[in-house]
Amino acid sequence: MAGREPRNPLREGMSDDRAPDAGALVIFGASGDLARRKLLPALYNLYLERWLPGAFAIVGVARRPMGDAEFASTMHAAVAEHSRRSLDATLWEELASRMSYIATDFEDPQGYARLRMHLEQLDRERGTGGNRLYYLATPPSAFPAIVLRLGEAGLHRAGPGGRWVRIVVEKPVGRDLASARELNETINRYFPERSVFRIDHYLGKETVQNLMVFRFANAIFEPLWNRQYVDHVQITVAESLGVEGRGRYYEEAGATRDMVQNHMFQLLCLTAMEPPVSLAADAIRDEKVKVLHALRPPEAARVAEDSVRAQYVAGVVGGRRVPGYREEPAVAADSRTETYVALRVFLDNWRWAGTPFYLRSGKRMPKRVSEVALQFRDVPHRLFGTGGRRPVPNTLAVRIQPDEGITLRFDAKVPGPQPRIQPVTMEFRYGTSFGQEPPEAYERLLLDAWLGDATLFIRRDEVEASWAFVDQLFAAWEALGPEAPLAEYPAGSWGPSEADVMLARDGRQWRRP
Amino acid sequence: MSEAFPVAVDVGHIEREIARFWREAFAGGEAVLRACAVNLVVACSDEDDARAATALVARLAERHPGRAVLVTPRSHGAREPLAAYVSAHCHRGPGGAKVCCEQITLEVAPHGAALVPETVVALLAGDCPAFLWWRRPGLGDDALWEPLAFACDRVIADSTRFADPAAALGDLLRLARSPAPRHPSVGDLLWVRLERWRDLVASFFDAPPMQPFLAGLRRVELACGGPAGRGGTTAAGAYLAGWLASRLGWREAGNAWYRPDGAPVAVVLHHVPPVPAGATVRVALEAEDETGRRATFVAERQGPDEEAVRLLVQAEGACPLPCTRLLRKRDDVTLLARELERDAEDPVYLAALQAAARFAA
Repeated sequence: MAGREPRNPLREGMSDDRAPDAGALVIFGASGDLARRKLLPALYNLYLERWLPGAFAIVGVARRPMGDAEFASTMHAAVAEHSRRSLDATLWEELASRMSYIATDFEDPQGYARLRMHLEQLDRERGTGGNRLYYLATPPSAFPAIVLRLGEAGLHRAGPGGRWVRIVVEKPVGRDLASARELNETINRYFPERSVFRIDHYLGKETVQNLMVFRFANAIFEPLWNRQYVDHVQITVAESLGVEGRGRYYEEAGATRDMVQNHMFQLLCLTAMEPPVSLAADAIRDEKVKVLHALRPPEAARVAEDSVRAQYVAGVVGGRRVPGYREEPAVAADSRTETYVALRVFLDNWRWAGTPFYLRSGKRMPKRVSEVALQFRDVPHRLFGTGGRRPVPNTLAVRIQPDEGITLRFDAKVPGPQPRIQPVTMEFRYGTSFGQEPPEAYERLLLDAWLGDATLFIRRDEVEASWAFVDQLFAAWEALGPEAPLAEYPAGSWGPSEADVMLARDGRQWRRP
Repeated sequence: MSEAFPVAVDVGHIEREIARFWREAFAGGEAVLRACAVNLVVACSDEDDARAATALVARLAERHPGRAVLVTPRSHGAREPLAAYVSAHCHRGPGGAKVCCEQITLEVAPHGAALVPETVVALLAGDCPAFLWWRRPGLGDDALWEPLAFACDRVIADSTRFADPAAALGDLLRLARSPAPRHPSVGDLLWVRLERWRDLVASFFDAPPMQPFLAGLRRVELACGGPAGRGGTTAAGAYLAGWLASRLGWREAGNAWYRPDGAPVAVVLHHVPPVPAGATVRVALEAEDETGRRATFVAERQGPDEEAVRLLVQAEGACPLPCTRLLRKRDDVTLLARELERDAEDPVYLAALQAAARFAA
């Protein structure tokens, strides 16, 4: 969000006056799924839109033996399959001419020596200017080795004439506070925090960015955005998919680590944060961290009332029968990993004291939907009858995906002589108001990393503060004992009845998104 | 996209007629969402042009739903000074909802021109910005130009439509510099069309080693299509030259241009008749930095109808690869949609327009 001062006077007044420096992008794990499905299609679209600098190179690094041509050919197929825009042969040829590949084990120092020589050659021959952007698109277990080998090879320093070196780290950053700290310390040993770009792809989504615009570019909402007017907040991140062959990973992660610690907490932060003093990356991230620090720590004595963990059993999703979680490949028959989690959390700060935030995320829910909904307090005195209908509170819902947009529900008079009222919805949809297709999250994030704009990336203290909460939550759950109930919900439902009870105790109910 | 056919309405009661039109056009059918976020007044040159504009407005409504008021000369049956018709443009929004916008077409007999401005003003939807899309062949010599322009918040012309670029750019500049306390901002579809080329030229100087050459430009050659004025100057060429001059602080003295350090800059504008109006064919820049290093920067379209542009930089001590950039075609709807997203003055454009008017004069 924060642009740098344009150095090129011809850029002044252009729709985006930020121009990336020449440089080399090094993708570790270049033969993997993330590179094929997301990174290369994003790079192609950035190249198509002329966002990439005039002089750049893409270097793939992975274990799989292959040459430059085979790498380019593999990426061609990947881009053809996954790009949001069709492939242009001429452009692809040019992009491919800037690709190269180094096959190496991530632990092997010789591979990094070759990488160093190769990058210096690119500086000389391709004008990449000594600038380096390393992208760790590998399994997290490989992160420490890659960082250490980069440092030992001196690759954490800019090349001859270079201005910067940056490193992009995919989630998850650790699986608890200790491992996150250890990884962060390893990374910071060679890469100062200003050079580290931790990705949560949710922040690359237009609607997530719009949360801040909506709150801080409009004068009418912010005065209502607090405990005085908001009864409670619901944040939902629902997936209709199951574990999709990632049973081994998911058994270790579960919904809390996979979704709550990162995506949901980012949505919570953007919803609850105070206005930043500027759009500078650290100004925004400072405010987000304050939200995480304001989270009331989970307590063993209350965790059974403030949370629900559940697993899906067989059911119907999208018109077809699907198996239960324990019947998925690579999932233990007696697994206690949660595929659904619902939390009631409080922020102990001036703005939100006493206002519950209900968070829920699950797999195999009826549909894929992410939204933030603020439910406002009821009027102090009801003048109008509801005609036998339950009163419907005002609700402002920000839909993150799909059908991105914002809706406001309020009561209106039904035409006629009777004073009857009925809830109606005022709706803004991106697709109706803006005919243009939004870019993929990875396009925005790759470009920002190349530009050095860290606004949409997670700072170390954010990661650690969120893990601190999650660790406390797991500790509270463990204190309930190994036989503590794990609820069940049929695949294709909105979650277990226990989650409904959790809200019902407060006199509230979940929205049906 | 669907359309409710035009219905003739009483000019004196157009708003009332519009309300009736909406009730009757969609009576008994599915629910429709009537959307209006902008007013778009379209000044058409003739009936054929009005038909072309209607098709574009229909597509534009999907991106910028609003009320369109088309003003078009009428050549037949001209007993009444004005005749009005109402129609609707509909499309399916997300979730399948039918979203519709209205179009009012005002046919103007020769003796009805004086009635147009006030009629249009009364038809503008309240609380929505008003844009004038000027499609007629002249500007300052057209009696409707000023009254309609001042009735709106922003005027959007297309300099490629004017036979005399110098006069057109001068008229746009006069409007933009109007001393009136409330005057419209000015936009030009040609300026938007040139955005990609300006971006390409700017990209030559993004890399820090190339930036010193900007201050040392000594020769600029621009080859563009479209109607040409004196000396083969097209509006596109004048805009690009004006943009460079204004961004880099060049001064005009006599018939020559000078850099801030006093060194002259040779600006050569070529007219390339066969390419589409407004299309840029070639930009070639020669420069020398303060240490005496020389460089040339060339962006050249690969064939008259091609969207690919070849970029080549030859500079001592630097070796970026030549590359091709694809300039995806953007039709008038796309360009217009961009202009509708801005309603304030664009200082970069105004500075470029001021210099461009000098290059075209």
